[in-house]
Amino acid sequence: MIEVRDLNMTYPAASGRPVRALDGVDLEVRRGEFVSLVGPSGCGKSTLLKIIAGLFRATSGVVSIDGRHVAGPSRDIGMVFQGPVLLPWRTVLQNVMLPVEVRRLDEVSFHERAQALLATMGLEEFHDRYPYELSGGMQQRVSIARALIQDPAILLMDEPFAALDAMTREGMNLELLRIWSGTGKTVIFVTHSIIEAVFLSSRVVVMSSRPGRVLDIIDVDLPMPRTLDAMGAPEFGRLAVHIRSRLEHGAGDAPAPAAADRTEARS
Amino acid sequence: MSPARRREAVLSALLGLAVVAVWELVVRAFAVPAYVVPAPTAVIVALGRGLASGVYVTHLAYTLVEALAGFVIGSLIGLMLGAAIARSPGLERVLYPYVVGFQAMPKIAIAPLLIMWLGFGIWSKVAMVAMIAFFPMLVNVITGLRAVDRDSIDLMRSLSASEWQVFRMVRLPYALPYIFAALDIAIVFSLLAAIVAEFVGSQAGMGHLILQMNFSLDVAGVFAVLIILSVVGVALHLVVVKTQRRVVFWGESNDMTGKM
Repeated sequence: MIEVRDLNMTYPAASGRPVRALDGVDLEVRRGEFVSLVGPSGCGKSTLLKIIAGLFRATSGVVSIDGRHVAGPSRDIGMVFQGPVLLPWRTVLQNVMLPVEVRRLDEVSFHERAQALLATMGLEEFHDRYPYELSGGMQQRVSIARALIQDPAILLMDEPFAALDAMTREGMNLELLRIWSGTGKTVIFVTHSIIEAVFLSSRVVVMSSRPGRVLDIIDVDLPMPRTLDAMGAPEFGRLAVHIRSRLEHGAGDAPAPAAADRTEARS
Repeated sequence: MSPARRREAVLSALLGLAVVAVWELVVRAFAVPAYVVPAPTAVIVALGRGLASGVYVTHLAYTLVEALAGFVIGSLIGLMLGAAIARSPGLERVLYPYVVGFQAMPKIAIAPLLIMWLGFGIWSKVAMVAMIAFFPMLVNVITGLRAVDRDSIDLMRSLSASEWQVFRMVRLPYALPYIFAALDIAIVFSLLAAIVAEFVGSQAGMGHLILQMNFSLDVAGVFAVLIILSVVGVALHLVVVKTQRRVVFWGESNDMTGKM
């Protein structure tokens, strides 16, 4: 379980006042859950993710994973960034193997796993290609394979599909759900897109603009496994409208629709 | 080659031929003395004579050794100092005023001192070349090592990479296009610096040869040496560009070079 307790983050500004990015964030993510963080630009979603990843140190507050405080990057966490962040001089396979190389693990034994992951991603024929020979969607799939190579229990994804076109994005969403339901990993997923958040998540965390606070946490009780048809369900629309109204009205004074009220009451 | 490109190549060749033809005609029509401006035909004759006598070989070898040794030493020092400065902004603030002051100084003015210190032989020239070749590498390495994108560094940190791993696996490869751009500038300057250093005092080399020919009013011979130097300069430039295309095969910023 991932626990975030009273997390505050203030960036020292180069000029002028320091910037408060996070203000008293509390969050619990259970093992195997898929949780999305949605919020306006600059609400500190990415900052929160990077603190959980151990890349940043919070100004105050605690993040713990399975009871242990996060003090730095961990093997249990795989990160997927907004861009694919592939090293252009490495082949697809070498990029997927990067974590193994950096951590000086046994490359031979991970080699098979890397090939298998690429096959899951439909990229087995591209293992010896270079990133510039791949489309944006394929590059992002490589970066997901790289995040999965060490079989981390937790996957942190920072707007991973934001740069992709709508069609590719839907395909990637389905693929991600397939991976998630097949492996039981805990996923925290940052996105701008309410639709994407509702479609993928078991819970959606709505954050306010700077300083970032948790405005609301909404359960998504749509049946799994989900297909694109789920987007047409009335419950899907109600949830999306509710999340949008929370985002638009800010701190907690939104007139929530009845269905979503029930959802909140249950949680 | 597209038809337009071919037409431009033909035009370029025609322009060269036209300039040479006008030059030849003017020299003949006005009976310009050969010790002022020799006719192109006289230059070609001098070039042929020089090539046949083998006089260029030893002198060119001498100059090339000076230029290449200085180029390698200067670039290596620039690379190491640049890497150190890129890593530490504190070191940059301490060192940079002196580095800039050193660069602002017209280094050819030190050449007489270098000859006093290191003698008329090869080492005074190597030192001069190294001082000239050093700066482009220093500046570009600092820029290149800092140009790496933030996310790649975050990625490496998320994998608990050591600083050396980040340098070797991410920063240095990202800096390669910048490093090659510096090498391309430095290689041409190195040849220039070797020649100029030879002017100040030397026993051999293409610069030495030019001075000798100047003293004996063999201006056609000087022109012939200039042709050889420019061919060698272009060849060195092409070696750097071809090496870059091979090493930085992923094609980033290949357009940073290609112009001298």
